[in-house]
Amino acid sequence: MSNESKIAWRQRFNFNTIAAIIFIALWTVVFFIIPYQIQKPMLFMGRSLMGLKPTLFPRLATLTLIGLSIWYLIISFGINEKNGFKEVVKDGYFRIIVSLVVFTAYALLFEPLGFVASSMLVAATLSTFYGNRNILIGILISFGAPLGIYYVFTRLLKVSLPEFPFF
Amino acid sequence: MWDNFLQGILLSLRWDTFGMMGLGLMLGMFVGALPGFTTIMAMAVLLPISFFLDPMVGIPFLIGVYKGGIYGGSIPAILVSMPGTGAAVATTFDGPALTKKGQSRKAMEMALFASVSGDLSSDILTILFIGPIAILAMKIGPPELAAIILLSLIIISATTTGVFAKGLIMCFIGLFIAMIGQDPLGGMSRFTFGFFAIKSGIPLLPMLIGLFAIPEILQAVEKKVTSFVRKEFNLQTGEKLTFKEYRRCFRTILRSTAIGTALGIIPGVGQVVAAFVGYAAAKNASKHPETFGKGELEGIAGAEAANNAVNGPTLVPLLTLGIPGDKVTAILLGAFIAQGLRPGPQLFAEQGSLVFAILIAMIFANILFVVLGYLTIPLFAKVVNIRKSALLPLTAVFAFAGSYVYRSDPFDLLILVFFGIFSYAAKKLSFDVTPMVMGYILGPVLEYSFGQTVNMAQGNTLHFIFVARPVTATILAITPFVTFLLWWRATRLRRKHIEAQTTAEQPAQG
Repeated sequence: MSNESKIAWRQRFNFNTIAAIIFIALWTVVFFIIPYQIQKPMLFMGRSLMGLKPTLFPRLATLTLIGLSIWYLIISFGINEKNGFKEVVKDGYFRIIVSLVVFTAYALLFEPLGFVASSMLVAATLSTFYGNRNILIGILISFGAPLGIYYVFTRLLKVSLPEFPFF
Repeated sequence: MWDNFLQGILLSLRWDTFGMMGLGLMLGMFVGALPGFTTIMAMAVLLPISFFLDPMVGIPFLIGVYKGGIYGGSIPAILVSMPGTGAAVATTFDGPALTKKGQSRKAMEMALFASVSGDLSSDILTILFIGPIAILAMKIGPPELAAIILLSLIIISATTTGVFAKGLIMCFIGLFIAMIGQDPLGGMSRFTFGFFAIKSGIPLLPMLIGLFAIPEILQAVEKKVTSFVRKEFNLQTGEKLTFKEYRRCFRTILRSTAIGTALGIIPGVGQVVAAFVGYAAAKNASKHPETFGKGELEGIAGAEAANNAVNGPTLVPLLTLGIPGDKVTAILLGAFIAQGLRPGPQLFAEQGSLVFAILIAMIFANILFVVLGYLTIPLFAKVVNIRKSALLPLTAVFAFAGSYVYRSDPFDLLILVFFGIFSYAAKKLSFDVTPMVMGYILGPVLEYSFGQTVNMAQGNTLHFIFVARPVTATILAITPFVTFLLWWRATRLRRKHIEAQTTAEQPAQG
C-alpha cells in the first residue's frame, strides 16, 4: 500500500468509525440482555397484569440505536471532523487528570470529612494547582467560600450538608 | 384564562421574588461577563438554590440568571472580543471596533437597551400567545403527545451542532439513560445491573450539573488558567449612548425582536442562531452596510435584541407541552420538576395563575434588568479581569454541594463526576449533549404516552392511530419528510463548511 493511500485510508477510518463500531457492539449487547435486565410483571391466571410488555419500548429504543449506529458507521468514512483529544497539549492532559483525581477524591471524602473540611482541602489544592499564588485570594477561596456556601445552604436554604468531622 | 392572568399579577408582586430575581440577574451578568463561563453552567450550578425556595421565588431567580447571563456575555465580547456566551458571538463583529474608537460605554449601553427592548417585547408577545396555545395543548391526548415528542426530539437532534446521525444517537442514549430505574407504566425495575443506588433511576440534577458545569472546568484547565486579560476601559468617563442613537436603531431592534421571537418558539434553535440572523437582517436592511463590522451600533442592537428576544418564547413549548427546546429550558424544567410541578397542558389547567405569575415576573425582571445593568456596567467590565484560578475551584465546590443537597446521597457525586467526564469526552469527539438531555427528560413522557396509546388501541394500534387519531397520523406522516429535510440541510451545511475550510487552507498552503 502506497503512502498516499495509507494516509487516505487513515483519514477515512477516523475516530467516528471507531465510535460507530463501539456503539454497534454496545447496543447489540444491550439488546440481547434486555430480558435479563427487566423485571418480569406479575402473572394472574397465567396472564400478565400489564397490558404492555415491559420489554417492548426498551427493545424499540435499542433497535433504533443499533440502526442509527449502522447509519453512523456508513457515513463516518466521509465525516471530516477533528478529534478534539489530539488538540490537548501534554500539560493539559496532566491538569485534567489531576483535576479528575481531585474531583473523585472529593466525591469519596465528602461525607467522611464533612462538607467544610473536604471543600477547604479541594479549594486550596485546586486554586494552588491552577496557578493562584496570592495568599489572600487563596485564604478567601479555601476558607471563606466553603464556609459561605455551608451557611447559605444550611442556614438560609435550610438543607443539610454533611457536618464537620468528629462532631 | 383572564382570571389566571389577574391572579398571576398578584402572585408575582412579592418582595422576595424581586429580591431573588435581582440577585439572579447580578449573578447571571457576573458569570456572563467572565470569558469562558457560560450561562448554562451558571444555571446548572445555581439550580439547587431554586429547589429550596418557593416556586414563585426559585424559578424567577433562575430566569434572572438566564436573562443576566445572556446580556453579560456581550460585555467581554465588546471589551476584549471574547464572547462570554455563544449568544454574544455576533456582538464581537462590531463591539471591539467600537471599543477601539473609545466608545465601549456607548456599545455596552446599546447592548443593554437593545437586550431589554427585545426581551420585554418578546415577553409581552409570549403572554399574549401562550393562552391560546395552551388551550390547544389541553386538547392533546397521549397519541398526539407521543407523536409531537418524537418529532421534537428529531428536530432538536437536527439543530444541534455537527452530524445529524450523532445528534440522534445522543438523543436515544438519553432516552436509554431515562430507562434506568423503573418503567413509568408498571414500575418494573430495569437496567440497574444490581446497583441499589440507581434503583430509582439516574437523578436529573447531578447529571445536569455534571454535563454542563464539569466539562467547562476541564476545558478551562486544558490551557494554563493563570492567564487573564488585564485592561482598563475608562467606562466611568466614556461617551454615553444618546436617545437619538437609540431611536436610529429602533427599527433594527423591532426587526430583531420579531426574528428572535419567531425563532425562540422553535425547539432547539436558540440565541446563537437568532443573534446571527438578527445581525444579518440588520446589515441587509441598512442603507450603509459597509459600516457593519467596523463599529456599527446597529450591528450590536441587531444581535443583542434578537438573542434576548428568544428568552420569552422559548418557554412556550416548555410550559404548554412540557417540551424543553434547549439547554436553558431543560434546566428550567429540572427546577419545575424538583418543585413538584410538571410543565405541560396539565400545569396550565391546574396552576394557570402560577404560570402567568412566572411570565409576569419576567416582565418585572426586565425593569430590574435595565436599572441594575445600567448601574453596574463599570463593575461588570472589571469582572473580565478576574482570575480563573480563583473561580474554577469555587465552581467545583458549588457544583458538588448542589448535587449533594438534591437527595443527600454521596453516590450522586460520583454520578456528577461520571457525567462530567462523559460530557467532556463527548465535546472532544464533536457529540452534542443537548439531545441527550432532551432524550432523558422527554423519554419517560414519550414511553408513558406510547404505552397509553397502545393500551387505548386495544390490540389494533395502527388502525387506532391512522383512522381514529387524524392529528397523530398527520404528525407521524410528516415526520419522515421533516427528518429527510433536516438531514439534507445538515449535510449541505456541513459540505459548505468543509468547502469554506478547504478554500481558506489552500491560499495559506500556496
